[in-house]
Amino acid sequence: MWQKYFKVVKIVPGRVVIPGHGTVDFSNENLPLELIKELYENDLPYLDITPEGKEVIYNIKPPVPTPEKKQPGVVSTPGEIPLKDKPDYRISQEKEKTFTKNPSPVKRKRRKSKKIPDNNE
Amino acid sequence: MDFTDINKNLPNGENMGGIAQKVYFGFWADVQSWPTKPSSPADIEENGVLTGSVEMKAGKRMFEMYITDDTGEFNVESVGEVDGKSYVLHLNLFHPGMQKKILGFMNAAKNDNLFFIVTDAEGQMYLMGDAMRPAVYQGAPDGGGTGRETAARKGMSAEFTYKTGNVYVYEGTVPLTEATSA
Repeated sequence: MWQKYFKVVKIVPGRVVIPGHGTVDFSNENLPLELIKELYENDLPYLDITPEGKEVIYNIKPPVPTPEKKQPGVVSTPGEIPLKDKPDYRISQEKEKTFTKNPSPVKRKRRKSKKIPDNNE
Repeated sequence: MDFTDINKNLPNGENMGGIAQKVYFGFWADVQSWPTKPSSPADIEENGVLTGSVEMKAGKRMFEMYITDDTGEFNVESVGEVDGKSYVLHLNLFHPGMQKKILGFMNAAKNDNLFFIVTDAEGQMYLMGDAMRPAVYQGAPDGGGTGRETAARKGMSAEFTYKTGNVYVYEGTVPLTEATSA
């Protein structure tokens, strides 16, 4: 029962002589939970708590992933899609860049080809 | 550190002599780390106690030995000259019978480095051994063997000593199971 909430560390589960408590056999799964909790709270080095023990005994819930924070200095104007909700185009843009012949952002001016005068005109 | 008053302090009126019928021991070389001695104690009580526990190397452990009641003794001997005083701690014990285990222990222990943890009648423990010095076999002051008469007590006695600058109470744990790496 107690092994759901606490686990033995640093030693193979077995007998340990503990001042004030006598010999405690940590291979016994029926040890009173109150005793284990007391030993853990008294910093017995051979006990660690499980995530389930944290939640059930100490009411410590596992951390919930926090939503992404806005970058400082970037303010969205009314009507604009909030930054975090904007679709991420970066990958597709990257792909486009890869397949563009001229990756330079500066657009080259097209040379005007000299018009060959049409003799018929 | 300041001195404080030292009054009569016998919780529940208890002050029985002798030691418990079990002593704990191990090879000195198998110890990973030792409890620490007081470095800057706040008071004299703190100056008489070790902090932490004996921790064994992975795969090694401490053991217990049964001793006949009223045969075990933990003795603090003061030694040295003026300005050079220290202590020798003595553990005397008698294990009944001459079984293979106790003979094998004596064979291994007589020339090896050990440590002991001794418990007094009130449950207070004392460690014999530290990072610098082990407990070593000194001999068998109460003899060993079959005895002469049929009414004699057959068994092995032993004395172990440990030299130390100070005497401390051990408040750590005694795991009687193998240490693991994690």
